[in-house]
Amino acid sequence: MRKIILAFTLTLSLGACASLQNVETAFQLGTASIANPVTPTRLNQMESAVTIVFAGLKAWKTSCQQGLIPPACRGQIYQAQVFTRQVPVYLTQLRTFVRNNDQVNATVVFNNMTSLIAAIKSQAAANGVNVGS
Amino acid sequence: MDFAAILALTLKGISVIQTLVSVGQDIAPAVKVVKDLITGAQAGTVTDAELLTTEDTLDAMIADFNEPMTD
Repeated sequence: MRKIILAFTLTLSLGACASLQNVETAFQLGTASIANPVTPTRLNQMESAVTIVFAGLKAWKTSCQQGLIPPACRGQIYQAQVFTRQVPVYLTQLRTFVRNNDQVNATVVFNNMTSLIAAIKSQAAANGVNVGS
Repeated sequence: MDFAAILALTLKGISVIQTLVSVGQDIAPAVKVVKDLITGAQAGTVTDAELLTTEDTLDAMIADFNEPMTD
């Protein structure tokens, strides 16, 4: 617990230097396999990670709408949305497979989701916005 | 649950929250995600109710980002 508090304090002080260009979120969940199954806990961890990615994307979109960043951001966000609009489809499938403990299909969809999120992060990074590490 | 992964995710989540604050965004959903991550890590398992809460939060954030840009 003490380590967590220390980490929070350190991050809060370092974080004062953060800008949209340096938004970092984590999606370091590796790949799923039969030996590394997608449990409900792992699903929850993954969904939390994706939520943080989308929090970063939302900040990007809001900054764009408020005119705080160059107007080219509008086209960039349209391009990112091509990927992000695919996420709900995968999520629905993944949740169903995990709840039914269908590990074969859950593993496939989990890994597809990982690739899709990586594509979203790459799209944002190509436009100077880091929403993943 | 991998505690190191949770801690890394928590730290990254906090940096996102600070960015949300800087652009005047509602930070409540992101704060809740981070809080739930820590709570879940301490408990060691996730309940169905916690999973549903995470999913509701995520679904709302995805829907929000996927909305067409306004002028």
